[in-house]
Amino acid sequence: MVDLTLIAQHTPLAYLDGGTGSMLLQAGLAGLLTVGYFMKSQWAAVKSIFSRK
Amino acid sequence: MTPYRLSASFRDPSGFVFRRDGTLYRQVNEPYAADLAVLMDGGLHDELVADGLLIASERVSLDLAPEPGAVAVFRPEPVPLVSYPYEWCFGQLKDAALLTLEIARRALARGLVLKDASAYNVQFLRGRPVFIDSLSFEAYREGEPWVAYRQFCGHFLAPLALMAHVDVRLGLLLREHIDGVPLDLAARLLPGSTRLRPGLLMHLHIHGKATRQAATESVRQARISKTALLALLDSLRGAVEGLRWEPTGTQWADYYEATNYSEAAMADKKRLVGEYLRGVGGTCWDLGANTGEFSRLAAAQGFETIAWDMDPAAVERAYRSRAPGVLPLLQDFTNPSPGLGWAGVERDSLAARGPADVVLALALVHHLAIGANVPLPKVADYFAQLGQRAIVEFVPKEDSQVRRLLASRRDVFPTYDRAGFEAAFSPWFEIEASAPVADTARTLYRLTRRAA
Repeated sequence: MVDLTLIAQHTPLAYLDGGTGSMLLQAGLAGLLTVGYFMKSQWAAVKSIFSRK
Repeated sequence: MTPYRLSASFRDPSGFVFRRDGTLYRQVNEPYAADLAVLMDGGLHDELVADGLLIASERVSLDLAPEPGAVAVFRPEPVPLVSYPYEWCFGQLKDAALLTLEIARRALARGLVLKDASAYNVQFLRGRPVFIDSLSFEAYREGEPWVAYRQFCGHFLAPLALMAHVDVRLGLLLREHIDGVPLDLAARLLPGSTRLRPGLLMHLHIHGKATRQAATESVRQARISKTALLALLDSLRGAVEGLRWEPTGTQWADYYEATNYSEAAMADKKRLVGEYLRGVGGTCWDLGANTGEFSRLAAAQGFETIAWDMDPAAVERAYRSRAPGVLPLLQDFTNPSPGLGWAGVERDSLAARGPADVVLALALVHHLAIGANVPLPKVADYFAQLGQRAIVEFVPKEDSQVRRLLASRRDVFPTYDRAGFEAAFSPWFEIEASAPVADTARTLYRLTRRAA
């Protein structure tokens, strides 16, 4: 009996084999990278406020 | 003449590149129709072309499609010479990496994502890297991780890190690993101190360990937000930017300071080369070009010039000089780029990408004949494969450079003299002209390939 729910959730096969480890690493790093990125953009905003003065 | 697909264009069901009557085209297939619409109508294509990041393409008639299933046919601007990442100097690979990341960033802003990050998506045009694979974009699906992350690290970050932190010659690992340097290999070769750099720690060291992870079902649940994706791209950009390499300390880095040419000799040689180049046009391959002194001369006379040299520092300096009409590339003529990849033809050998209209072999032949023990007839044979015409400088044994080559070895070259040179080259080339270079014992020859 084919499990139709699995088929429904199945994302289209990617052109490239991204590699399991790489996908999991991305997910793992996502939080850390986002925080870093956010802080960088905040710092850039702070700097631009002062440079306009 | 029947149209044919390019040997490297077979993996992507979205489309392929083909040649018809000498012109290059791209056929776009049905599976790509939706993504193509987003690419074109959403404005990303035009934005990238306008900013010189993506190769310009003109839409042409569907009738030109050689295979069924086409939804569009384009004619991309041709690149004078296809070059491969293992032929690029550090600066070229770094610029190609940054270009790829910039395109990925801009694509995300327009709801598209790069589905691959292969270094083979980049070529050099007018001295700058340009993205050539217009079919690399696909619609971004919220939450999906970047499928090309590992490929980017293998094609770009790993070799660049190895070149910057270990040895610049490691760029040649790309010739062996045509889908990128394995990350665990790169991590193993890099010095431990590179773990202190967050970018290299995350994207190479940890990533290298992660690639050994076997496939599991849980990867389907891997989700990352769009902001996290942008953060990843930015992190990679920072990691690449932080890699630097200065072109000094290699064998040929300071060649032009150390040559035995007087000013008068150099001036005369330039005059002669300029004269011998006259009346011909098209492409010029300067073999052993070093920093491109004579390549620039050829370019100034209208040639589309490739400045080939085996020294990474020389190619780097030539690249940084941004001389118009000159593309510097890495090549060792005693061991030139072979055919690689699938069936050994996916990536063209050096000779398959020629012949050039004219080949310059200045201060080179003695390195091949004496330095590398290649008999002059074999040198002539190979030159005849590389160019329709050749301007060759014969450097005799009296010259101090050849004396240096022979200093620590036996002279086993009885026929290495002007007569021997002319006898060796005559079966392949007609000697149209020759002249001594003032203030030296050298002779410059203007040769034309004989009809086969």
